[in-house]
Amino acid sequence: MAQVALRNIIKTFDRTPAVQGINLDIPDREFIVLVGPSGCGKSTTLRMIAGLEEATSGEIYIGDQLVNDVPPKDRDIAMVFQNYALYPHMTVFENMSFGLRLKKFPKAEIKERVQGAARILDITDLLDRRPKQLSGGQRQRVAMGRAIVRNPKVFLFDEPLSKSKRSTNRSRPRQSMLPTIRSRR
Amino acid sequence: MADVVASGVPIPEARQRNTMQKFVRRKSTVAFFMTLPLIAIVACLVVYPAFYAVSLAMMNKSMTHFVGFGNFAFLFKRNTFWMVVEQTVLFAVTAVVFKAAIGFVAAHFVHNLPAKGQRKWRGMLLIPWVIPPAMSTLAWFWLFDPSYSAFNWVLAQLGMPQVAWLGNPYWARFAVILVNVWVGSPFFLIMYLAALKSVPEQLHEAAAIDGANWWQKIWYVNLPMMRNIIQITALFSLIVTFANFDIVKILTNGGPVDQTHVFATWAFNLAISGNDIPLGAAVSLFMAPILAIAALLILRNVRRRGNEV
Amino acid sequence: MTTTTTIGKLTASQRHPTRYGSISRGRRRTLYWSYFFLILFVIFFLTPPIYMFITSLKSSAEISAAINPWWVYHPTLSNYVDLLTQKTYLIFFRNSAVVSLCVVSITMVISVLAAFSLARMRFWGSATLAIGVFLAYLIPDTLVFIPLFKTFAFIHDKTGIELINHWWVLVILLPTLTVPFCTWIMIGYFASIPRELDEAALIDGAGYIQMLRKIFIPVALPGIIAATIFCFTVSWANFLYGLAFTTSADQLTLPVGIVTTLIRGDVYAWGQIMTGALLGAAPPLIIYAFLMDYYIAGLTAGATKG
Repeated sequence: MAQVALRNIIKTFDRTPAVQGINLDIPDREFIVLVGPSGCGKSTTLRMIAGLEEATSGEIYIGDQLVNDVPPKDRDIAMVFQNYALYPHMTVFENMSFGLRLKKFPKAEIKERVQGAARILDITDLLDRRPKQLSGGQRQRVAMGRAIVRNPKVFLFDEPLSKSKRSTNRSRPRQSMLPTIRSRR
Repeated sequence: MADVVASGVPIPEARQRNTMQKFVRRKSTVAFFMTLPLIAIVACLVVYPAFYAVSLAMMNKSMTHFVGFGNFAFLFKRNTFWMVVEQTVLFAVTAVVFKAAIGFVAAHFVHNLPAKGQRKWRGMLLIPWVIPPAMSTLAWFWLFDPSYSAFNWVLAQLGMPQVAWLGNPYWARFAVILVNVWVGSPFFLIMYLAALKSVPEQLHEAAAIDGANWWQKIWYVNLPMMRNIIQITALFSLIVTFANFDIVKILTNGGPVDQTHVFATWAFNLAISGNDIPLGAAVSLFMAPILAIAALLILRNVRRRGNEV
Repeated sequence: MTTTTTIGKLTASQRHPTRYGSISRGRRRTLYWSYFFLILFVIFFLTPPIYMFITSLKSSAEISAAINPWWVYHPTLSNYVDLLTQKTYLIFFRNSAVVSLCVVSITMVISVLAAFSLARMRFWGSATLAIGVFLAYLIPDTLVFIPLFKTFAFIHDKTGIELINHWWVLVILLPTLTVPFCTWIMIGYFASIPRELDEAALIDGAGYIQMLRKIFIPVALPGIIAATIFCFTVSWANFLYGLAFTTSADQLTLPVGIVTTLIRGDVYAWGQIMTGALLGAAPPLIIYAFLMDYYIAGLTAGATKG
């Protein structure tokens, strides 16, 4: 993992400013949450770190590398989307191993990583299923598995709790995710 | 408290009429009558002739008596027949493959454009489909004319030899396939564009983050998700192309020396120009097996889509 | 520990003009390649119609001269004038127009009725019927025209009713090409109308025919327009049935007429042929120019809504 630094990040869509000058230094292995009212620019900032949006001005550093001009596929990041964005035509195993297959990892290592992540997320018996056969919570875990398996420099989660069921104890869903994330360090 | 019920009293007339009225007014009866014209047309002008074709194919030339499989035996022995089989299959398969390829590639390019501009380009690219094929084939006929071909003029300017577009058998086959591809590609373009637009953009973003470049995105995300539409469109087109008449008839009329005949044009010439209706019917029946297989595959595909969604 | 975040207002020095990084440079390059290939495709697709137009403006002298065929040196409207004052051509046009309009009317009535009942009223066999309609559409005209020809000749022998060599025969035949697909399109559109509208109408006291007229048709109007356009285009473009079933010059429709009569022996009046072809292609093109979205909707409706 690596540290992330945002310097004076500004993003305007046409004439509308979405992000108006963010400076952020996130050290290595840190877990931070961006909170704010809807429309304040959280997702946009996240997407800029991912490379899905281009900053209008400012610099983004992942590790020591200036990544403004680096496309998402070369930034060594992983993202869990709000809607999970699982590939519907692939099995859970194939979903999780897609990034590794693209980078031509050896089959044995792919299998090892996927099984490892599946064990942590408790989805080992779902590896042969398709996304449409899974419940929302299971899909979320697969999306997380897809991110974990790549061992990236940065993990990005876009609105990860918006789809969690509200329980009587409000803090429980959030707490159950933290051990999963922390155990990957 | 029950009223007094008179037993043994015959049902009055009024009630009998009511059951009849009820029958007429019942939903399913009305519905059935509404579909009757459709059924009538299809039954009389499509299904019946299709079966009649089978019986016709088994008659002698003057249609006086039954000859069983005589016509078919005759066809199997003739060289032209096997040439036509080969030509039709070659024509249909090649044309569909190229149409699908052009449609696929063009759809991706159009999809790449900003949304506002897409409409203009889509509009221009669909024009070959809109023009009646007979009219556009005439234009191609003129472009390929042995003496005045505009294409040959360009070749001459470039110092290259003239091409006998419609006179040389291999160029003639090429020409026929080219025109069919020209007419049919826009259909594929439109269908694939619609399918492409239904692929969620987030999947492309996820793939980008997973490390995919542009052709990996197409191969691993677009292609699988469009697979259903690709198959259905290809099968539809295979059926239509296999039975194609207009283009070959106008461009080459099967020539030179029967080298571009497809089932439809050969059947037409035999039946109408050659006055041998049973033989023509026999030839046209050979389209049936391919059509049946393609139709079954389409049905299976459509049902599968219904279940998947 | 994170350092403080500063989200401040844009100062004058921070308001940079948009800087194009290599990501958007890459995107722009893809855009340029897209335009490049699309221009190639457009050249391929539009060359024949444009050449048709160019030729239509040439005199026959210029056509046979050995000059650049891609340019008109002495444009003339004589082809148009000749063609449009020639009775034969106008008859072709009229025949095509009448046939197409009749076929469209018949087809739309049959299709809408059938689609309404198949989409809305479940009755025994309706699902099988829908599939049957679809399969019937797959039977090509080239398979069916020979037995039909024989049947019509037979009817003529037995009853004296002439079914061959009359343009109105096409009005009977062409619906076979249009009704199945139009029904299919309409079923898709009708099925997508929520049932609550039906129920509201029933409660308001409407009968089935009224429901059709006052609710379904207005709401499914885009589908109806798309189906009508499709129907017109197919009837207008029809070549096989016209060629097989009509022979005298005054009974021919436009496509058949142009192909068979303008090509007399060895003398091809190319200027006139191209003009004729262009004018023959005009009605569908004009409709397309104005109603392009309905046109495309009709095309995609068949496979995606099916």
